[in-house]
Amino acid sequence: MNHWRDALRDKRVAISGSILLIFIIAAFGAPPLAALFGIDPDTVDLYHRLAAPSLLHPLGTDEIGRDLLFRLLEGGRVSLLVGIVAALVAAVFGTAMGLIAGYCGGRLDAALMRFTDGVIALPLLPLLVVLAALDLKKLGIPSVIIDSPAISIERIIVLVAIVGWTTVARIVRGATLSLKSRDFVRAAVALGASSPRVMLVHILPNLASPIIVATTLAVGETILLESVLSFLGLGVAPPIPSWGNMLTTAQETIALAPQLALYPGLLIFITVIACNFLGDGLQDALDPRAQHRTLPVSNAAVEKAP
Amino acid sequence: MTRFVSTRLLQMIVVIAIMSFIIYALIGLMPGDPIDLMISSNPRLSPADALRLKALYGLDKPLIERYFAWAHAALTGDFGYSRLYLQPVLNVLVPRLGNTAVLMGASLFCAYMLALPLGIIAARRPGSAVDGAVNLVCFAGISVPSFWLALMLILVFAATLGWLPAGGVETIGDGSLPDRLRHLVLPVTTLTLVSMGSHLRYIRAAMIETLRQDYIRTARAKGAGEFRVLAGHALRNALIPVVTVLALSFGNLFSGALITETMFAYPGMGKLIYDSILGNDFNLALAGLLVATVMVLVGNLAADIAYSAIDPRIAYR
Repeated sequence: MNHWRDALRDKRVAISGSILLIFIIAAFGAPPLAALFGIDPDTVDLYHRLAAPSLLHPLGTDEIGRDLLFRLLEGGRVSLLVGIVAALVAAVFGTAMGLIAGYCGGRLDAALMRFTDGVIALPLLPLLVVLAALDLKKLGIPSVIIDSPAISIERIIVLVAIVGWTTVARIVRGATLSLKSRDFVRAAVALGASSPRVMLVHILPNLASPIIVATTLAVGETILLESVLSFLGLGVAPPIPSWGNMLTTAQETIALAPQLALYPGLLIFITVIACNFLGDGLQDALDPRAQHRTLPVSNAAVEKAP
Repeated sequence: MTRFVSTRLLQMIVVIAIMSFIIYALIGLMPGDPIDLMISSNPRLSPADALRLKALYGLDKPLIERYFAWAHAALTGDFGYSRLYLQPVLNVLVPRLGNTAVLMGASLFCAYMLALPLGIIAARRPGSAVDGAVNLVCFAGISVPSFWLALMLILVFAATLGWLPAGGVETIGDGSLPDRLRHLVLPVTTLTLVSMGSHLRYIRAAMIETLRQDYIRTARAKGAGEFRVLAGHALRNALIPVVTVLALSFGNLFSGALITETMFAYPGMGKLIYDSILGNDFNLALAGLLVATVMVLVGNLAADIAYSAIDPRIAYR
């Protein structure tokens, strides 16, 4: 556990970790706070559209007179939620892939890693645009689920998780390979432990730090992807706000109110860069001997998005 | 070497075949279908007519049969007709490929022109203030949402300062080279900034690794100048891993081009794919996605071959 204390001493970890923590607390604390002040972030006030910052509206109002600060916090709640949940889904799938590939080795390893490399090399964004445009009815998903208001959120979580798992799989496979030859694993095998038992009981707990690093990096990646798809109108759908789709409407009023376009993008930028610095710092602190450093790939995956 | 290339080519063809089927199936799952679109534009069509049309176009057949019919036609160069552009798909696609190649080529060139010197300067003293600053640039490039960066560039340089055009490839009525170049500045800047980060990190990491080698110390001991050591001895070897990243970045660059092209209304492949998907232009979307996939796979193969050409230690069997 000393590693964790080291990690906190790392400036990158401390600063980016605090920023993320503040964002999460602010975003998830916004609804009760709004209720406390008697502000309804969804109230439309056409007489005060695009108002300048005031005491009542610290950042002013948006194109239909809603309080911008609360809209940003609401949007942040959705963006952070989608990013974190998608990264966790990706982490579970990626860990399974990496663990099986690394432990079993041989042909299975080659096949799984070829598949992973193949996914990484594809032009993912164009394919994601297709996946986002699919007609869920044709997939045979019951209309009760399709017509629910949260479907755009559930859908985007699945979509970005499809991209996020590759980072985790590669990191976990690398760590599994080096653990496999350690004495305690060989002892377990010699004592007759079954492969699933060795993987789950002996190797998996020791993968905690690489998985945490990979998941942190994946959060940055998923938030960036969510914002791109939502911006293009293929992700989180209005009226649910997210930082990405707030920029879509801001684009239309950009000549009148550039601040509407500035804030959401700046928040995405800060969040993603904080996730990447946090992941990078944690990697240095938790796994100082890591030979193959994994680089954050957010834009590399979107552009790398992007 | 020949054997390696031919095996890889064969693998690539299999991957393309699988991908084309997946893409074909996915396009079929998109909302609406061609017959519905025809009916909506001609209210006099009866349900019986619709059924006849379905049979005429073979849409009543199972997926696999339709795929083979499409693939057969595609192999002879017939990708069908574009609904949005009212032209054969290939006539729409080919000019767009050239535009995207210009955009991607220019961005890649600029990205390396910036990343190489920065990466080398950072690698000379890892942990120094310069290194820290370069690291910050890396992370900023990797983390910035490209569509927002594009929006901000348009806001500052096109809307506020009025220095550069906000989009398109040329001013109507003026197609001169300087005019076209002016239209390229903002899209290329966007794509350069977002793709530079990952290249820069790899160059820096590879240079640090190389500068630790004995032959660098030997070169220094023999009195080689700093520039000669860095450019002549270290960089050549450091570039080997960088080539791999270049290959992997091909797909990413293409995805990045989709956003950049859409933001700047630049008529390239990325924007074409996006427009065709949103506009229910199934034939065009299918061909566009397939071409994008093939381009990426060919890029990867080219890099693998270049890899062995640069590094004689790597022999392919």
